[in-house]
Amino acid sequence: MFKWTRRDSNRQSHIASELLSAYIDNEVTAQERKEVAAHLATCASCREDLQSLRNAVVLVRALPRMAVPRAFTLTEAMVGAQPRRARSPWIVTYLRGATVVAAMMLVVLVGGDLFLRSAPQTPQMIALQSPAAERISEQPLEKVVQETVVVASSAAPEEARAAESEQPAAALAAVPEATQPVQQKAVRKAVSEPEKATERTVVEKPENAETASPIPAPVTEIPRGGGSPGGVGGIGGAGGPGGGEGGGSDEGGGTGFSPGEPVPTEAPPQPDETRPAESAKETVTIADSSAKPAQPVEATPAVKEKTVEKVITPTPQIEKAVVATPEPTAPAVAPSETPAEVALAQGEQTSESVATHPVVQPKQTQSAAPQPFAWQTPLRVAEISLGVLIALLLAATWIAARRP
Amino acid sequence: MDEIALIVAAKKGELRAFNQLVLQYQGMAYNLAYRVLGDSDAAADVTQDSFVKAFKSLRQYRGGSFKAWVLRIVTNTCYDYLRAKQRRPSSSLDDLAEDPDRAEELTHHGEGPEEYVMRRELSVTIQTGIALLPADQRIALVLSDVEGMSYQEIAEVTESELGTVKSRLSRARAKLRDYLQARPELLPARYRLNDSRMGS
Repeated sequence: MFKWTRRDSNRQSHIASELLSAYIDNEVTAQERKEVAAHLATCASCREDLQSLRNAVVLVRALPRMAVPRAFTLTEAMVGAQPRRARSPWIVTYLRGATVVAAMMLVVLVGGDLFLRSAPQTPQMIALQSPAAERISEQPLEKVVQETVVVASSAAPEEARAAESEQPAAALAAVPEATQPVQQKAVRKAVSEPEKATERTVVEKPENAETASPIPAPVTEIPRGGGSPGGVGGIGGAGGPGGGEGGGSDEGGGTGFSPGEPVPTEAPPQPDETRPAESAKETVTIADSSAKPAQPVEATPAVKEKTVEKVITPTPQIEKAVVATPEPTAPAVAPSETPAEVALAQGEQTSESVATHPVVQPKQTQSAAPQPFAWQTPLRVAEISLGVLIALLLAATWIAARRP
Repeated sequence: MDEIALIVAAKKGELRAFNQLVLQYQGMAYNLAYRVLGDSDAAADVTQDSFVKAFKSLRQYRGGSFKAWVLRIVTNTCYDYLRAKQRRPSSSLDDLAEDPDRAEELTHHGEGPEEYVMRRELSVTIQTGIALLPADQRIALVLSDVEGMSYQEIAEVTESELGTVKSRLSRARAKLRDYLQARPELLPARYRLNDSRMGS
């Protein structure tokens, strides 16, 4: 049966008009053509339909061609500037995109410029930018150093004082890392002072050891609670006569340790004099161990931090020792300390603090006032450059769009 | 210049090259518009608008049959015209009665006056029958039987499926046949459909 069929009232199958129309135009497959031809041979109705359709097609195809009333050619007035559009617009597109990007960059620069200029300088920012802030933050450390100096000057003999002047340089040299906090140096120096006194009174140490490091004494030789704990002991010793010397005895209560507190003597594994730095830390560790268990011998960052902490934020023991010493160190120093030595200690401290000071923000600007505006000039130059670039891009875009 | 060279030049904006293409396709475009709209003035307006649109949208031509591309623009413009004017078959009949006097048909060589008159009367009748068809069937019939395009070309111009083209064309032919068979007095005796001598 055909694909397109219709049934009459007698339910007889006939070829559909669509198939007959396609058959007229030969728009049927070979199989369909064969089947239609076979059916037409047996069906008069389909033959009449085919014929009537074919006649209609013939009549339509016979319609005459109409002559054009006029020429439909175009003029410039009809299309205006449209012919120019036929040109490839990719150049114009890229130029426009570049102009937009440059404009956005200019907006960002101008906005950033205005924002930075209008942003208020916070007090912390101003303070941090000024050298005075460093001196203020360094003050507690300076106190420690000064007090250490006081102790050393009051107890140490002339040689100790002379050595003290040399020690800062040696101490600095002995420090392996240049970035070690100043507090550590101060602590070591403070430790070295009473230790020297102790050494001279108790143990004979070679000079080279001292030269190598300001902290030559091994832990075992350092008296308990003595001035061993760096500046702590020194501080404590400062409260009493010959605190440094007294550190050799248990009476070095000036250390500030509460009686009865265990001060475990951490015997370092090596009493090597060539490793005075470690011994110094050990001493510091001992002093600190009053509240804590034994610290590792090696100069671990934790120990360093504690050392720094003790100087920066004095522990209660230290505070007591500090309190024992009058706040104004000058008067305490004055009677027994020469102004030159105090100034020397302060200068050293200052130089060290200038070099490295973890508490104080690193000195970013030497002159605070002009720093925030140092970027104005290059920013202005960038803004002007972008403005010129935008103008050039606009001109190029206009020219590219206009030219044929 | 061949057609491809003219098209390339026209795409670059050369109006002279595009006018060469206009002269080549304006007859076909006008006849299509005339047979679809049934009015010479409307057909001229649609033809002119179609060529203006074609020039402005040359960038969209990506190759293929340029003839089909032009006729597609003409067809769509005819649709737009019919929707805008809202022409009705009844009204078009009145216009068509006068249109043959205005529209100029191409004369056949050696044709006598009587034959010319008869041919003109037949044209009017057929045109009236075509005007009664729906727009889509009308366009399919004109593209197939007036412009002689294949089913595939008609599908490309009308942007429809092949089966849709077949359906529309068959219905158009069937309706036109029924219209002409219902009015045999309008047809010259020679062209009466029931006359078996007309069969080709």
